[in-house]
Amino acid sequence: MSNYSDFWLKDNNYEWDWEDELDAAIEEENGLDADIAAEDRLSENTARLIRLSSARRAVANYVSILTNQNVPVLFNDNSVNCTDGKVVYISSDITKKDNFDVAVGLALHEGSHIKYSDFELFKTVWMNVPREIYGYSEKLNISKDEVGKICQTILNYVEDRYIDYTVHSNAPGYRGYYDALYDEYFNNKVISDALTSDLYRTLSIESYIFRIINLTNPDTSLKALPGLYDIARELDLSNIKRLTTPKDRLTIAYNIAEIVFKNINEHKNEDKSAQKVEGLSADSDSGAPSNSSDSSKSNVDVADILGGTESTVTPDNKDVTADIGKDDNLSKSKKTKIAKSFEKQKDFLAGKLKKKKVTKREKDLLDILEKSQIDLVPVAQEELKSKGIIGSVECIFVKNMTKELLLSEEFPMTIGKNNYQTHSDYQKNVDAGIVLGTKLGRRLQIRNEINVDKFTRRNLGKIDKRLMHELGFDTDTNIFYNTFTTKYKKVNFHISVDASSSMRGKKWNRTIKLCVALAKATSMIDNVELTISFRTSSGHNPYIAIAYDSRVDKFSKIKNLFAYLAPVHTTPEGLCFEALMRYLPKASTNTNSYFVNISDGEPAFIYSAPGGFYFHYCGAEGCNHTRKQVNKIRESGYNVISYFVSEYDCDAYRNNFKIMYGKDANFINVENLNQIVNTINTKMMDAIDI
Amino acid sequence: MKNKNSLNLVTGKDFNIKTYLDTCVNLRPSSLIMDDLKWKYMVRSAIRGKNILLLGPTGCGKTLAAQTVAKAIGREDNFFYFNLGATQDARSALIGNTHFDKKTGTLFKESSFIKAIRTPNAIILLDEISRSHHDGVNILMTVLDDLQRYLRLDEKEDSEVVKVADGVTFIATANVGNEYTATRVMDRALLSRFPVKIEVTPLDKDSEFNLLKNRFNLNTDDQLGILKAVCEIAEHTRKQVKQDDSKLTNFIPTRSTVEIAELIVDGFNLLEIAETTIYPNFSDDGGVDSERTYIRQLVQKYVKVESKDKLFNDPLKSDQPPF
Repeated sequence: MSNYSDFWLKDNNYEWDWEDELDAAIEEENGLDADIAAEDRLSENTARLIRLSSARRAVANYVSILTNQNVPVLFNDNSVNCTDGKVVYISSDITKKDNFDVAVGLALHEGSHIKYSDFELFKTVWMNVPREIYGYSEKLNISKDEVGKICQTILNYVEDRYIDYTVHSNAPGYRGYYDALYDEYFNNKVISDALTSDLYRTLSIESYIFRIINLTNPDTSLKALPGLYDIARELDLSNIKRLTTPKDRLTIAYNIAEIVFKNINEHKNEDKSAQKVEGLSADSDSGAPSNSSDSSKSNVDVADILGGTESTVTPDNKDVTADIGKDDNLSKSKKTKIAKSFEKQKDFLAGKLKKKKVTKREKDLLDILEKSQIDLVPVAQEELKSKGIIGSVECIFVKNMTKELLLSEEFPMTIGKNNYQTHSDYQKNVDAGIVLGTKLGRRLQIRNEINVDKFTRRNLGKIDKRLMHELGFDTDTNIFYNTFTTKYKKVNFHISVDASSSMRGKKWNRTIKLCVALAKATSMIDNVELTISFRTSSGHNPYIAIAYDSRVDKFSKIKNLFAYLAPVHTTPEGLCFEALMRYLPKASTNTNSYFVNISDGEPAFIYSAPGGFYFHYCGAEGCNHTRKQVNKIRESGYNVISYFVSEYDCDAYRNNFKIMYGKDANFINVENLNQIVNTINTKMMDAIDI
Repeated sequence: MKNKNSLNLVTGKDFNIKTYLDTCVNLRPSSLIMDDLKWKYMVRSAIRGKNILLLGPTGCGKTLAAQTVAKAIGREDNFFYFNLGATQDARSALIGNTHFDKKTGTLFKESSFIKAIRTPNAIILLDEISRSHHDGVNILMTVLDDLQRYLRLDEKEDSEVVKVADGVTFIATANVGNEYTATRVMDRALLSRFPVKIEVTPLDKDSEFNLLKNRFNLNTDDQLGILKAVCEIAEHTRKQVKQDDSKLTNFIPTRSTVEIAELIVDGFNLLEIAETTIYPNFSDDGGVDSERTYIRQLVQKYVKVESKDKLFNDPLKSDQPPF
């Protein structure tokens, strides 16, 4: 877990399972059992995307807090090259432990540009370059276009230092993220080695830019190049907060650029070895116009404020050590590393860091997952702890089952996956459920009625005006009245359906019909709320999806989607219940709350923990954990009713079912599944509130 | 004790309202933070006997503003407070009760509201009118109507009518917005009875900081640092909750920051304050996506962590000049 993110993750009962640990576990498992690897990979991919999505939202919070605007924070995809000042793009490898703090630091940095920087001013940098600078640059055969870009790079540097300083001093709690960011890009060993070496000490723009960018590094030397001290004094990093306006920063950038050009001009003739000014290309020697030979540079006239020079990524076939001077103490590979780190720094300045992209497919899936409000809920921590495993099982929890999710590969409980029934077969169940539900709904409409009874001649209550006249007579007449309002209490049902593969066939058909009927009926009356969830497993993860919530969904959702649902895999019942507990609305005295379970077996699930441990969630272990969760549901104010659906009377799982649900366990033949409707009907009609 | 600059409309024959309003900003105590123009408008409306409706979110100082204006214009002795949101029986609270004694027969005991409207130059605060039962609103309809200004004690045709005395000003407060439970939509008829509507906005972070600093005499660096952080956090929540795609459904009102300031006096640090008074107001439903997570990340901004004191090294302080 990231050090600085402990602050908001701890006490949240949330454990971030970093990708590197997970990868190791998957690899290990793949080696052990290749047969189940495909299914696991799908499940792990879902889990990875969910983690990615959560991480993105966490980073987005920081940007929102910093900017006080809800700036979109998106993953970098193929269509995006750089941060555009309106959206913050982040890398898709942030679920790796080492990357998260840097990613937050980077997002804060880019967010603060949106807050503090003047993007319009940046676009005009090249137009306002002081004449003195051109005077020097012309002697060096550097084009105006190139000078503009150099000024932009320097402005970016000044701008970056100002905004980073501002956030760092105003947000002490976020300093750790900035430290991580600076350690990654500016204070790393490669850069320190380069600063103390003989590299970047030649009179070239490249050398000056390198030395300027790394002025903040503790190993920087102001003696490395002439004028560097003046640049540091001009910049005055200790007093950077004085540059409160973008124009102040621009003025400093021009001043620094002038020092650079002036010093190259003045000293180039002093050092014969520096006659060929490095970084200016061969054009300066030939006397040809010094338009950059790098076509990619000239393509970008003005980047955004984050961008200065276009990324000058060195092509693979070019010797990257060629332009950075000589130091015999450094190996070629070291020089290559240094050059690459410098390129990375320039990309950072330009806001064009190469962030790991998400593929089109991943992006689409992320959209689907986010719309479905899908989350990973850590469960079974205590059970794992008792076995000496630190961690948790991650239950995939879908708060809002959407059609896109239902039809995606990521959703396990859908037709077409090892299922012999078709959509039209299942549609018949839905249609039958609607017919049944309509009948039930008509009967239940009585629940909408409110009866008010008035009882008069009472000795307490409100004065009944009609009896006031009797007070004139010396009688003991009671002149008060009371009213009693009788109405049906609000009822809240949660139906949790076992969608394991054993529920196939008649059991599933009848169960779907039952769920649809109840949903239809409750949609016709006011004070009943119904949620329906389906549970199964997917690879390493228990899986639970809220398929219908009458508080937010229209009945048409059931009509359109339920025919796509199909049972699959096994059910880790208690693990799903543990995750569900976070979602269940809290029961209150004003509401009768019922938790209705429909299943046909006992929990079965195997979880492979990192390190090669296996957690067998079945038999007594699974039943005891499920019983605990059922008790917790009861304690939260729900009445539990659990139905064991079977086709035969002599089912071996009955005893375990009783262990899990105790007195609330009911055994019902699949042919009599409509009894559940009757029971629920009775519960609804019983709930009279006076 | 009455304010020296107080105003007595009954005796003040030579009273020049324009001159008075020009200097009325001086009558506003430092404990009330309100825009100069709004304050002037409120004072003027109170003097002119207009019905004033103060609108704003909870804890922004509506009630305090009403109390303060009564004091500022020297009518604190004629100030009456009625909380319509806490009224169980509107008729009893606003009109009175009929009592029965076997010896003396029935008798009507009028409510303190009747006494209030009979008092000339009274300032009557109808607090939380948006939470009032509709019976209460119905009773008030004639009272608040500029052309009627009376209250009939019974529906009977010849029953006694109490006239609202001269110079009586009604000031009502209302929370407007769907985030307030138990509030009712105020109908146009009721709203039209308040020709003066003043929006009381929550304090900005600087005003809140100064107010709390002075009120609780916070002076050490630690105390002021925590208070500054709290005021910034509170302001952020207030701004965030107004956004279309807000990440929060709740905000930290001034009422809470006052409570927090007391905790600062008692030596609580920012983390303890957050745990006890800030986090519980934000739901933790949804794990990492919850409002609690967002607010934790917000609080994190102000909690010092072990890190480098300075973000970057200044070479001028570590390197010698090259000469």
